[in-house]
Amino acid sequence: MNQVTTAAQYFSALGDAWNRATQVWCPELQCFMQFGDIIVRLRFSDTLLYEAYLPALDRARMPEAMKSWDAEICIMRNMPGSELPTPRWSSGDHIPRGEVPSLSDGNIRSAYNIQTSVLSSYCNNSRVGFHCVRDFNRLKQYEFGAPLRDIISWILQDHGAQLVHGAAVGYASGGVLLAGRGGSGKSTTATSCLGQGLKYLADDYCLLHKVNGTWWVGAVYDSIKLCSHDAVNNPILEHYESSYSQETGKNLFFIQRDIERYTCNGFPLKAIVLPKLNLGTTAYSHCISASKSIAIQALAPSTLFQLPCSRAKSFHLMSSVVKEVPAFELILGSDRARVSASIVELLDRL
Amino acid sequence: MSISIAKNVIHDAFDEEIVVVNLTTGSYYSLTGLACKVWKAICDGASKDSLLEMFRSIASNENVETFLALLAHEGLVIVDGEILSPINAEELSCVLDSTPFQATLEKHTDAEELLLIDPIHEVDAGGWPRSA
Repeated sequence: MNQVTTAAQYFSALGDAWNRATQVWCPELQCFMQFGDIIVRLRFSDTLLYEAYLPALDRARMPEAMKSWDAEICIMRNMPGSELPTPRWSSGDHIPRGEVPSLSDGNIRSAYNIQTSVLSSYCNNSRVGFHCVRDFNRLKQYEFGAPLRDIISWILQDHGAQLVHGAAVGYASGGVLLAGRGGSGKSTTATSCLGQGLKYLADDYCLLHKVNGTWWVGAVYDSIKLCSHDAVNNPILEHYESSYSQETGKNLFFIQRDIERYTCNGFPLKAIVLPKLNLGTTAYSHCISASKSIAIQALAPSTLFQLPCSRAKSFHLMSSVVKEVPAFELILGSDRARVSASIVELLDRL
Repeated sequence: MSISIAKNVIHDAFDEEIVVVNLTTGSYYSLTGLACKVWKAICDGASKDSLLEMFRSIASNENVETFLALLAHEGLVIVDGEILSPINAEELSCVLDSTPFQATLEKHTDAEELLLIDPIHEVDAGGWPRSA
């Protein structure tokens, strides 16, 4: 197969591969997602990826077909008759955060995950993206828990929103964004609020966007990723099946219809909360004020370095959020029941 | 001679602190007190000589130069026209501890592991990259 030499040529070749995939394999499957105010059309070239990815996107799924949309993502596998074009990889190419400079220009962004063999490419001008899976068997747990993350991140950023690494809980009237590096207790804090009065919105990634001058947090994925110890001790989740990954040591749950009553899809952002494990003997979970500097340090680095995005733009947005929304540290005591109550007390004060 | 913020660096002020992120290394920093003032002066276009003059009453020339050397070693600033010798950052920090810059610069490296920089060493038979 001829190698293409520019980002635009390669993107065009992906379009050709997509056309072949939908002609050779099966009629295209499509659905529509809403992330905040942004409508995205998803087009699948086969049922395997459709069935694999949809569970984590179910909450964002719109019930009806739309006549217009803000962006679309074409999702395909490398299959006989519709092979992906071979890009020109330069020996010594660096791939920070999976980004591929040789397949990117001012208009097109591309990223390749070497572990999962997934190529993502998005064109700003046409607002079309391609998510290409070279080998389905190499997909990792996080691909099923947060599918299409790279392209969704680019689409959101193009529309003035931001996908952030963070959890969120609250009420329809307002809630909190839980921020911190991996292992800081975001997921455990968020899932401990299930069934405790607060609505669960996200445990790993959520959407930040402005609505009429107010920052809002929105749901993107329907998945929950939790370590086994926290999963079996969660009174809601312990009754549900999950898939366990030995690599991550985490169980992956999908929010099902019967626990929808414990969740919400978005709320105005009232505070940024930074879970902090208390290694002392205090059993009492409580919130204390935190500086904006601490808040941005908790929120920005993991988002900036996990997601392939325009970093300056992302940092600027997160800085704006931190400057406009108060921050608190949630000192996590040994009494899990107090965690949810501490956040409720905080929201009552704000 | 001029000093400028490196292109791979993003930063913003939050109340009395400045947070700086090195997009190449994944390190991020919190600057307070005197470090914060020096950084702001650099952002405003101060040269090395004007920095020395500006902070003469607070810190010695050696203190300021050592701090600038630390910023350059961390890849946060570029000193035009002068190549600074590589200096062990840990040793520099220890030196700064006995100066007015003590405890004004905090470095965090926990995000570095998220920064996957994987030079392609080889490609498979299909022309796709694989890690070495």
